[in-house]
Amino acid sequence: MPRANDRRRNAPKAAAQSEGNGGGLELVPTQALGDGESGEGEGAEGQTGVTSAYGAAAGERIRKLEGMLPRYYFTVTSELEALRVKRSDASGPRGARIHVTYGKGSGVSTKPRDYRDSWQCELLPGVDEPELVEGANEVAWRKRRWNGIEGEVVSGADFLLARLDGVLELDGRVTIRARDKTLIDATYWGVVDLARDWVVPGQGGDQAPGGDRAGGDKDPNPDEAAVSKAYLDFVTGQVSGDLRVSLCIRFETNTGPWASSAEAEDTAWTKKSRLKHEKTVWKYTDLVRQQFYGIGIIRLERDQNGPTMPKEIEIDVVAPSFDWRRP
Amino acid sequence: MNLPEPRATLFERDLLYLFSLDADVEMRREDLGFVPGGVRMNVFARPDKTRVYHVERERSTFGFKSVQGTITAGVDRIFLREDDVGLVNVQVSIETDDGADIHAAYSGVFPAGQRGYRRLISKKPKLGTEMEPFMAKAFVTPRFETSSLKYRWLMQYQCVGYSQVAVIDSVVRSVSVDIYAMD
Repeated sequence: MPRANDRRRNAPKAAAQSEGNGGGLELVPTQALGDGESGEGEGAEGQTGVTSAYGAAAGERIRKLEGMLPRYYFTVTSELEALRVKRSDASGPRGARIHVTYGKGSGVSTKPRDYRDSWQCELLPGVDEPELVEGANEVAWRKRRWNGIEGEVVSGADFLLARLDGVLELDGRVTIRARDKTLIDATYWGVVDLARDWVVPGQGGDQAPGGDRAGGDKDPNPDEAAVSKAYLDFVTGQVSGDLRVSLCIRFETNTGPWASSAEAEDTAWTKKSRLKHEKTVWKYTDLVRQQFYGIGIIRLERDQNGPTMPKEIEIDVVAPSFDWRRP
Repeated sequence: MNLPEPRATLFERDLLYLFSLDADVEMRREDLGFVPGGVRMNVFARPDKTRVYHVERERSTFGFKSVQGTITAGVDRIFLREDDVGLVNVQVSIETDDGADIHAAYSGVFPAGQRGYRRLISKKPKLGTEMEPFMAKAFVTPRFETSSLKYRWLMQYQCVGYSQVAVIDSVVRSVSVDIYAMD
């Protein structure tokens, strides 16, 4: 399976060439919005009011964002098991629903090489230790925003919807258990164009939905026939191959007993809770404090008895780097 | 400004009973722990211990085939707020006795009672006992999806569910729901 990381690894070079600054992380401070001092602002003469000021600043911001690199957090790989939809005609008014569960052979890990490429430093030893080693190791860990994770997917389901317009909607929930027993819940969603987002269409005898139009010269706006063919090929199990997916991901995990105002003076009882995980709270705090994205691949296999079955998923979890916000 | 006269009567409304489901909750549960505003936990239905049925064993609803079967997959992602109110977020797949698949995803509210938040997470004192389970009500709003022509009628209704949640030793053990269609 082609690694989803490959594209990201090449991104720094491309960004450096286009920006000439090796990363382009220095963005316009928020205060600059509307002050008319940006280069775009000067070029926006003739426009008046908030619109021109905002437009100028936004243009500058977007140009800088193009050079911004996502931060790599970890990779999730898992076999998938399709539970539902037994017949090829199993489609509701919006399309075909497929209930997919995450199966055995799942893994969650921060890959040292990708971590180094992204964070410009090595993973600290002990990242996969069940118990945090007290002392100097912890001090070093706490200085970092993200220290990596090792674990597995303990449960997960995705209620896929293959829409009539040839778009696959993903709507999943996954629970990850780190080796230190911390549970992390992930909620994700995304859309994939079945007529376009194939990684290796046409190879190995595989045929992508949408026929030739989904081949190497991908049509950015597939016509109605290609869309219909993509949908029908998918729900009748006529295709296989690797489907490129991008997801929005949100994480939830134990971040400590946050006392409300009413409880502020009486939190001793939470110490007795079966839900406290004080030792690991700080390790994964970064996961719940920002928006994440997933970039990866779903491997699909033919199934003569029903829709194309998702068999495997590999997702790199990344977050946008907002270091530019800091003074 | 001339506002229209307020109505003196209510719209006609009705609740029509569709089916019930009883689900035992797996011992395997995922306690994610404290999140801002409360605690999060995931509970799973036991496929071999669930049943979807019509309480009067009727064979039809609205002149259509009534729903009878089992739950093949179900998960409830519960967020128990500090104000003793739980929010449920359920996804279930029902397999009917005649082989059709019905999917539902819905949310709802689960009032845990006075000091329910503390008792559920600290177990001091424990909420409910084997002899006397704590029975909490929950209210959910399901909609259904299916590809089966026999059950396609289900998709035209917004439904409501009245649930009873049995809590023993501060742990959710079972859930029973009566589903009604709003008509």
